[in-house]
Amino acid sequence: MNDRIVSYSEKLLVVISSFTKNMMSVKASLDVYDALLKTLRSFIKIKDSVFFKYNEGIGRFESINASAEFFKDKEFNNLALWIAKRGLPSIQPIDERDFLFIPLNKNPKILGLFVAELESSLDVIKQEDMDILNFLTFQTSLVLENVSLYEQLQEKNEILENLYRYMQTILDSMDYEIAVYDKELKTTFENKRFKASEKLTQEVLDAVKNLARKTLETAESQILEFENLVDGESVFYSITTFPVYFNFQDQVMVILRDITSTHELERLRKIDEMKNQFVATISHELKTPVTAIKAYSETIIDSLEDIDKETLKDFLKTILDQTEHLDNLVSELTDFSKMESKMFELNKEKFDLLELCHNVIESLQELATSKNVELLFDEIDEKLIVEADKRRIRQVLINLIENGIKYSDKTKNERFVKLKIEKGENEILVIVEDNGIGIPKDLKEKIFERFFRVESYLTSEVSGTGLGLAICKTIVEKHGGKIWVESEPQKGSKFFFTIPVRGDS
Amino acid sequence: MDDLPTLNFIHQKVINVANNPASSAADLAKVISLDPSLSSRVLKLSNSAYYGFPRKVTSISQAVTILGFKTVKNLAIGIMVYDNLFKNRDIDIDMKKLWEHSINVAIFSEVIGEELNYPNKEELFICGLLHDIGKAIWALINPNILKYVLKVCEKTGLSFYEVEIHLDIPSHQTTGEIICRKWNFPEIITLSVGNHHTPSSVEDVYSDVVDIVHVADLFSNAVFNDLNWYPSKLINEDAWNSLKLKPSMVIKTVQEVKKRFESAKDFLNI
Ligand SMILES: [Fe+2]
Ligand SMILES: [Fe+2]
Repeated sequence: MNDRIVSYSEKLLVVISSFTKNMMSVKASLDVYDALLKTLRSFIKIKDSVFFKYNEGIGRFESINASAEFFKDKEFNNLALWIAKRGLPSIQPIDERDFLFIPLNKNPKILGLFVAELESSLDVIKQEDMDILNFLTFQTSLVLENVSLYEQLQEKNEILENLYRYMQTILDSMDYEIAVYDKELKTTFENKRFKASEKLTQEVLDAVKNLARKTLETAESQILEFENLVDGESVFYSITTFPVYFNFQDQVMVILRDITSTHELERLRKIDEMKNQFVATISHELKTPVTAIKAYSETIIDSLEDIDKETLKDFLKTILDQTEHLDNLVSELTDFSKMESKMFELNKEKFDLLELCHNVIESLQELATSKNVELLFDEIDEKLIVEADKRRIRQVLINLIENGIKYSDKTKNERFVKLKIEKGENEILVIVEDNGIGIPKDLKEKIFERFFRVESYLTSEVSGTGLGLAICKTIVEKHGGKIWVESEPQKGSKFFFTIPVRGDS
Repeated sequence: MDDLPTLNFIHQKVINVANNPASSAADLAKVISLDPSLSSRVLKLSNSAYYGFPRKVTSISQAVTILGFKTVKNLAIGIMVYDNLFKNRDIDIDMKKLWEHSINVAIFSEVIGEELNYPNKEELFICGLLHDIGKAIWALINPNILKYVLKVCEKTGLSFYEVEIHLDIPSHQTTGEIICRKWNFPEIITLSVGNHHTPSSVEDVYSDVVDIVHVADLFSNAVFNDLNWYPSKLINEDAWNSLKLKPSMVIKTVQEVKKRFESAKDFLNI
């Protein structure tokens, strides 16, 4: 026993905290035994231990991690049965050695048995130690029962199925072939396009499997461009893989794209670096809501019985929020992927920019009010007809103003975002000014790069793909304009962009 | 109440060791063996059919580690109470019947606890065993009052506890609680003795135990027909509801208790 621990309550506290910590990471029955062993070692010296499962059919205990002969004899089994039926921890002298038995039951069902050889002599076992052993027996049985239930539950549980269906909808809506492979390299999931693509040759499937295997081995994302000769014609594929933890095991998600028709091969080679970044950011960004959804769903499943309605509602609200967040991420991604695949076309029309500005301000008023930010519009007294893609320009305005609101400085009493328009000879200058947290000097250029987020340096409150400003930049430049920023940390930022008056870019 | 019996020196020592969480198996064995009669009977009960241990327990300290510290200390307490209050009572009151009822309630409490997966189940047997200790105290210090109460019960058809309240004398649960405190018994025993007819009055970590003993007492009266002592027939609704015993569990409990009672014969003559 640990000599440094003086009082009973102190010892109990140490054991309970060690128990909680050890049980936290438990995923399967075997983990429960390991966690119990670790906890016991925090206050008793243990030489060796054996875990038993109970085979109800033949009424015998079967060890899962050792095969010592004397654990197999009948006398031992009778002893073990006696202890299991009694449901209390017991220390048994066997052949001059002392063995601690911890029975794990869910009355009247025997779940298992933990046996450890003790180092210390029996006589020094104290009442409080046996009390703690009682406590551990009881609590571990509960955990083991829950884990076993959980293991049974996972296949049929509705919440998980809904989550699965939801994921499937997202993945189905994507423009690529997506599949998930398990450790045996069998698909456990195929999205619509993957299912429908019958023309995939054996060579392509083999390449996919090889890459999946490599991903499983390295636990890292892989990217491969693959050329396949079909009837004498080259077909190019881009294959991207991610390690995913799905259905409680390590699996691989594969994204397959036919890049022949869009002549993407050349371009993909150039932006290989970018793709790596893409993969990293996306997996990170998707992980946050998915982890939250998973954690809350698991909590709900685990404690469905004793969770009250209010808490359940809270949890489901969080799941819904995170789902919406996921939804936003996916739509930004869709935009971005359109740009990347050059499917991004402008739909130019003539419209009044002032009217659009009013419209945008109006639609963001609610958000601004909720964040205590005042929205100002410094307009001019003149119609501003431009020829541009109205929907895209609106997107740029919304993005810039929304950023101004999101990154407002909470320490300031008066917070504002001001939209201002100046008419030049050949172009119109739009300015979005705020007194928010500002952007450090050395980051001013980077914020327009893909995936860059100022808040990863300044605040963790806002999250996103970091694609917003990159999308703005693409839109503005596609119109033949320019976009830039002036900013001072703590004081605020001023974003500028220009649109040529005559839409002839 | 001044003439309440006292425990002898050795028995006091046993209680002191039992109450100290830092006592070791060896400490408990040592103090029990100071009373050879006590230690031989603890050993005998440890090896009794009731526990059904497939091997042989050869020493008290072995009994402590094999059966559990609490089980052994509670065996010792049970034997001490038997010696002090039940044994060789030369009065015309049926103490044997009361002891048998005590054993029934002890077994019922234990089995209900197991059925409910109550964490502290090792304490339930002794709590049930001692619940009516107050009646035995009356038999010892003032058998005439006890006889009077029993007579009133017979005439009126009221239960023992109801008559005590009617006559406005200290009830057997109050008397029991006083003796438990005087003898320095563990709180879990004291509380269940002192409230087994009024379980809702305990709002403590031990409220479950009190509920269990209360329900066990009523079950035992119904199942074993322990009628000589005029049992209460009214179950406390709060206690019953908070236990959440399902009908199927009740049936299983009764079957298990009957089975276990057969193996508890050693407790009748200790
Ligand atoms: Fe009573
Ligand atoms: Fe009773």
